[in-house]
Amino acid sequence: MKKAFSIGMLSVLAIGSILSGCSGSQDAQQKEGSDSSGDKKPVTITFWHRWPESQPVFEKAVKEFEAKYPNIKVDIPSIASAQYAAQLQAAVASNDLPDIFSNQSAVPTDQLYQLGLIHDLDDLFPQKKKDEFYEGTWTEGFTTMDGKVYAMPHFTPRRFAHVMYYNLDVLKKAGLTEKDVPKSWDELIAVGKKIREKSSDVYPLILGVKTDWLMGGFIGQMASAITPDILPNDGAYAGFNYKKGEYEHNSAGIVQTMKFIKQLQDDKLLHPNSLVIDYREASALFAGGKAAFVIDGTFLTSELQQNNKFSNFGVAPLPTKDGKPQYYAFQGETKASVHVSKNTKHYEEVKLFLQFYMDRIYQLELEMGVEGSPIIAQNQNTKVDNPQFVQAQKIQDQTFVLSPHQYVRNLAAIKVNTELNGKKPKENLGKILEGYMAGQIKDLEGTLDKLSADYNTALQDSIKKVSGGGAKVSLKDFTFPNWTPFEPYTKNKYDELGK
Amino acid sequence: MSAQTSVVAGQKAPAASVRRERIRYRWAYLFILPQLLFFIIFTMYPILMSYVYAFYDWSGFGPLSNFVGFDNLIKILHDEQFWNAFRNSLLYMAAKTVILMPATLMMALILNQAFFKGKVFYRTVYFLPVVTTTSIVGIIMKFIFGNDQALVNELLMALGILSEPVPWLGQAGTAMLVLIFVGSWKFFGMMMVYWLAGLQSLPGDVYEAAKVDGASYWQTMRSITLPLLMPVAAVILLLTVVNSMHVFDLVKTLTNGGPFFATETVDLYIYNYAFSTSGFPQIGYASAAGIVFGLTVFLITLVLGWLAKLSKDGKDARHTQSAKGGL
Repeated sequence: MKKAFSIGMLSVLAIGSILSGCSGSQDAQQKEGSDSSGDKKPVTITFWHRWPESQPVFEKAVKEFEAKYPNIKVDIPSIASAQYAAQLQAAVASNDLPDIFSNQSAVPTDQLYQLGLIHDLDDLFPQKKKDEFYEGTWTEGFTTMDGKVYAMPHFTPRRFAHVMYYNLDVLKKAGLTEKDVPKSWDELIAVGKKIREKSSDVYPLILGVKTDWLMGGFIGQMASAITPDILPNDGAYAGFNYKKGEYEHNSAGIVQTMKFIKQLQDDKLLHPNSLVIDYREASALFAGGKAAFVIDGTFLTSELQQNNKFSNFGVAPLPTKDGKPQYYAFQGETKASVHVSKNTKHYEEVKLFLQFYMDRIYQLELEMGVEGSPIIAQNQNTKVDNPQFVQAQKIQDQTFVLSPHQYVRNLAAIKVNTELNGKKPKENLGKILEGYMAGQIKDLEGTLDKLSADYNTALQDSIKKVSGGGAKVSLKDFTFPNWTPFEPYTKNKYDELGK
Repeated sequence: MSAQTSVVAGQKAPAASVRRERIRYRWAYLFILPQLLFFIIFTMYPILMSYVYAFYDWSGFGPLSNFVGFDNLIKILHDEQFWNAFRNSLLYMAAKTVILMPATLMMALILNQAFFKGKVFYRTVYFLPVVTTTSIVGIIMKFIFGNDQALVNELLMALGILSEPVPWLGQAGTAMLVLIFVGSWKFFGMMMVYWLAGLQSLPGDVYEAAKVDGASYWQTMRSITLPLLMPVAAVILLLTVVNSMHVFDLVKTLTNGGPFFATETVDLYIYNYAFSTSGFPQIGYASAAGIVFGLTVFLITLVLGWLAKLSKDGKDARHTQSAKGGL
């Protein structure tokens, strides 16, 4: 009896596992065999991306594409952008990459190229096509390797600028208009006080301090109005003085900007939740009328319109200390691009899709108010019926200035970056702002000083390690004495420096 | 003849039962096999591989490369931030244990009283937090302990205890307190149920004998309940400590490492290195951190396990002593 029972259980388990294994392959077979009519073999290409703001664009575009090419199906699963790196990592490890996939800074083009995982796209980009893009788009280590194209841009490379959004409803309630949107710190304080007088639970400014990369970015941008030699940039080169060739996080610009934010907090002009929320919670509170201003990237425009269903807002440049001009680094590389897997079985169909991508998807991104196109002419000629998007794009276009980049000077600097990643300190400007606002960091200058010292040591150690391995690279490659901030650093400037 | 057959029969009988035992063992191993395979593949193998990865500076992409020897381990031991996370983990574990051990015992004692009505109701209510999803709890508690029009602040201000809202999660000290409080609240029911099980396993005749002798409640507690509970207590202590050493999902959603690393625990530290999105992930370095922490937890477990064994031996010794006719 007991034996019969155990045999019965085992068989149930065995059948269960066989069935669950079978069902997957059945679905796949059904998909492939459904379109038996027509002379072309039905094909499905998979596209993984990490841009949630572009999801509606892709969905609309795929419908048009599939109508044009009925035998090609494009599968675009929605992936949470925070999980994208891990998902890509798993796909690389199992050598199971989708046909087309977004780039990710954690797996740079040069690594993918060395591992033999990406397909070259030279036949899509004759020189005439390349010229349609912004200067600096085709850079070694990012979009090209050994002269061939390995990545196709997705967004305009001149992004994203940090801007200040203003809520027109909140301003109206406080008796203010668009003209009162502050351009300098003093104006922000004055306007802020007026808003606080009118209502006790509405605050002038709200920030998502937990999103440290956003905080670090806008601090750098605001600081560029005070000490422009510190190139406002993301990642490991934030706070780097490209004129001197060293890190200077404790520059006057960064210190004063952080102190200003703390002062706003102390004066109750900053929403009290700012310290414990991230940027999307902050923008949600902004859309809900709890704050008059929020600082975010230009990508918030489409987020507010599509996800928060909120349109009564405007976009303005960040207020700087004395209303002086600000800028952000455009070092030529394309941070948002797509690669094609080398093992793709449907390269011809992928090419058709990428061609369609450049003709139509870039256009749709503009029309749907998501982001600017990588192709210059499209940005100039497309009429977009979305005033806030146009406003944001205009500010963004004015903010980005072509700036020096060590990779253009010496390709070995890419290896230095890989080394630096392992050696750099874990603190960054955003986290230090959090600690300073929470009262944990009492000596701001001292902490920033230590950050610069640690970063400089890490950079020097990385350079030593890479040059010890045979490559020729030194700190000189990171120093650009003939650079004037706010003036585009064009190719002849690199030649001026000589080798 | 009959003697011979009886001898033969005697020999045959044990042989048949031995064969039956062997068949039973074989079925037992067969049933254990799947779980053992899962254990080896999904637990042992990753642990072993993490020891291998710790000797490389590897980003997780592509083949294993860049052997660095003991560099990662040396860097970990010198990293101020790692020891900060280590301290936070230990602090969380110690505080949670110190708060929960007596509190849950008291609650279990109360709920164990025969005359107490609504026992089942209270047991369920206190156990509910245990079955909730920790990450969701973290997100909701973030709003409850928030700064602007949040429940806790509003309540305390309405009661007159506070005049101004306190930024619970915006300060290093209070953020850790909130973390410990929420963690304790979440695990309370589990420990209470452990104690209840322990209490219900105590022999009833000892209590009756004590009642006959006229012992008061506190005398019973001190001389019977607590000593008899020692082995159970040691095991519960072990379980609580091991459970509180690992707190990832709550920290990630509630404070994400707190204001400037104030509530960063080792789990979060390892996660940030292994799955970093800014720059490249550092699997090797994270593995080294995992090894150091894993060995620490292992050591603590050994010490507590030895304590548990001691207390059980003590209980057994007392039993044999009383059986021999001693006290």
